[in-house]
Formats: sequence, C-alpha cells, structure tokens
Amino acid sequence: MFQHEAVKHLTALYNFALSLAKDEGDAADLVQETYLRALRFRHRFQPGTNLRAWMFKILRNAFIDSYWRRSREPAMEEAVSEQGSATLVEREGVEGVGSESIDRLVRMDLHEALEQVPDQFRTAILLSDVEGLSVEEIAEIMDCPPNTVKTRLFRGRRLLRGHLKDYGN
Amino acid sequence: MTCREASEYLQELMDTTLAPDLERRLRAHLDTCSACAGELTLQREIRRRVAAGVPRQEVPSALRQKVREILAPREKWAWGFLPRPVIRWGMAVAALVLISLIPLTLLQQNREERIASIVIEAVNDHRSFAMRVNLPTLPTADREQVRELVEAKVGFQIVPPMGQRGELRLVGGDVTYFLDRKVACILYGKGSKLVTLLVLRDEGIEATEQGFRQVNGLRVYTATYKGTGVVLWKQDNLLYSLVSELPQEELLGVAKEMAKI
Repeated sequence: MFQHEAVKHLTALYNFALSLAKDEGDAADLVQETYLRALRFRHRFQPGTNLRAWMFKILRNAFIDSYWRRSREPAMEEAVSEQGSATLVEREGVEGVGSESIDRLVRMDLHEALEQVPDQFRTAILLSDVEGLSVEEIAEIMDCPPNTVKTRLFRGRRLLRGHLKDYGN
Repeated sequence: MTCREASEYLQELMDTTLAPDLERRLRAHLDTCSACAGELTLQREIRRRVAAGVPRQEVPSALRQKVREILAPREKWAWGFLPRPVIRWGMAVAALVLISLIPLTLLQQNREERIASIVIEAVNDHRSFAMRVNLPTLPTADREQVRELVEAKVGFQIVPPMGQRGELRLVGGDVTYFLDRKVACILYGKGSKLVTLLVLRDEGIEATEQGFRQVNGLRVYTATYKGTGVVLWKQDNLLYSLVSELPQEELLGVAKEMAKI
C-alpha cells in the first residue's frame, strides 16, 4: 500500500530536507509538503520503480518551489564550475595521499567540512554516500544528466578532502 | 584507457555498476597509473567516511504525527467501527448517486462557476508542471513539434503563439483534460518563471462574456488562484488561458503579445 511504503522513508526525507533547508522548521514544512504532493500525485508513481528516489525528487522540487515563492533565486549557481572535463582529471595534491593520512585528516569535523562544499555537490554526495542512491537516480532527483552527477560527486569529494585537510593544518 | 576516461568511470566502479568489459579496462589502467589509483583511494575513503560520519537526525514527534495524519486521514473517520465491506458498498452507492447528479449540477452550474473551474484547473495544471511532478510529454523548443503533438490530440489547429519581443522561450508541449474537453498545453519560460498556455474549444463556455473587461484592446478575464495569475481570452472559437507566477501586469503584456491584435 502506498501510504505504508511512503512512511518508511520519513527519516531519510527529513534528513535530506535538513541538508537543504538548514532549519528544522523549514525542513519539517518541506517534508509535510512532500507527503502532501506525493499523496496528491500518487497515481503518477509507477509501481516497481524506486519510491524513495521519487519522493526525494518531490522534496527537492518543493524546496526549489519554496524559493520561487519567496521570489528568491534558488541556490543553483555555484561558485565552483561543475563542467569542463579538464577539471575532472586535475591531479594536484592527490599523489601520495595514502589511506593513513586521509584517516587523520577526516577525523576533523565532517559536518563543518560538508557545509563548505557547494550545495549541488553536497546534495549529490549525501544522496550517493548516505542514502545509497545510484547515479541515475540522483540525476533524476537533481534534474541533470548522469555525467553531471558523476562530476559533482568526484569534485565534491575532492573539495571535501581539501576542507578536511585545512582543519588538519 | 586515458586518465580522463578512467576518472569518469570511478563512480560506477565504486557502485559496482560498470560493464564487465569497461571494468577490466579500468582495472588495467589503475594497475599502471598511480595517480588514478590514488584518486580511487581518495574517493573511496571520503565516501566511506561520509557514509559512516553523517549522523541521522531523529524525526521530531510532532512531524511524525503530522505525516501520519496526512497519509491516513481515514483514521479520523467516526465510522471506523463499521466493517470494511459496508464502507465499500456505501461508497459505491454514494459514487453512483453523485455520478447520476453530474449532468444536473453541470446544468445548474452558473457561468461564473464554469470560469472559476477553468481557472482552478488551469492553475493546478500549471503548478504540476512548475513543480515538475508532471513533466511535459514533449520537452522541446521546436514549435513545429509542439504543434504536431497537440494538433494530433486535441482536434483543432493551434500554432504555439510566441511573444513579439522574443522574451518567451518555448520549453514543451502536452495535452490534458478539463471540463469535458481536451486542452493543448504549451509551456514557455520567461526569465526564471514558467508560463503555461492552455488552449481549449470555447463551445458551451458562452459564459466568457461575463466578467470580461477590455484591457489595452484585448477582452480578458483575469484571476488569481493560489498566488498564481491567470489571464483568459477568446479568439477564433478557442479559449486561451495563460497561467504564471509572473506579476499580473507582465502576464497581461504576454497575453496581449500572444493574441493577434
């Protein structure tokens, strides 16, 4: 039953909402709006496909919508360029970083380091690494091509490492 | 395989979704390229740390309760004591009675109500496109493609109108229903806002003279519903309904440019 399945994703949706809205009240509003929309449009959900990914997409759209309503531009434009394949293969600072040094570095405050990473990168990383969603599912949620997701993940993790390293110094 | 190609496949390698042949080639590259192998180690480590290190926040009990209410409004029914078959048959009978009443209610529906229902349907359709829950069947900037799609389905000719100053971008086309007829949906972008044009036959909507007013040479009916503006006008036996979150003045400007006046 749709309702029974939908409620299972409440914790994941609330945590995703928190990562977008940064405010508990706004996150709770987003989650409620997500469930209202999911219920209203449940006939559009195709059984057998991933309900969680579908609800994540609704939540992200609701988040963008709430920015529209406030006549503000969504925080879509990032200071860091996402495109350009050359950036994908930059190698500076990667050589010689072994597991041991990474261990030492990432003991720094992961939460704060994540805050330093641009929104689109952080969202992709959280959806992939915390929620375990595939590149295709994240592409659907974030409304972008799979290759863009891969770039965001790749570059986002490298940026994250950079911020964690700063904490180590 | 080059380093650039390798970097594009690292995510799929970690997700174990890489085709066997590609995986073999990637692993051969990683065996000989320490830079790419180092990159894979870095990506894996950060990924593992994020997975393990981002704490799960508990859902506040008030939110949990509200979601439960959203999902299960029936729990509030005072008829919960009735056995399910009784509810089902009761609902079926009620539905039959309602269906039999529809022609009557349609006859009784006064002109303004008809216009109001068009406004509501138009805004709901627009909002479902704007929130991208209901994606347009045809997302394209090609006018000819949109014309072909909608004409094949709605049974009247409609060339997607464009603004004269070129401020509108065509972004898609679709077909929907409201009242008792098919509706052509033509979607545009203007700045960061979506503008939806819905076009339907005006037969039986003789009400369209009531409440209409003359604005800059165009007879329009304007309304706002759920914070979204609607401008209606009639032209060549068709009713046009323009919907957007744009300011009303701007929306009227777009309507005037679209209408052949």
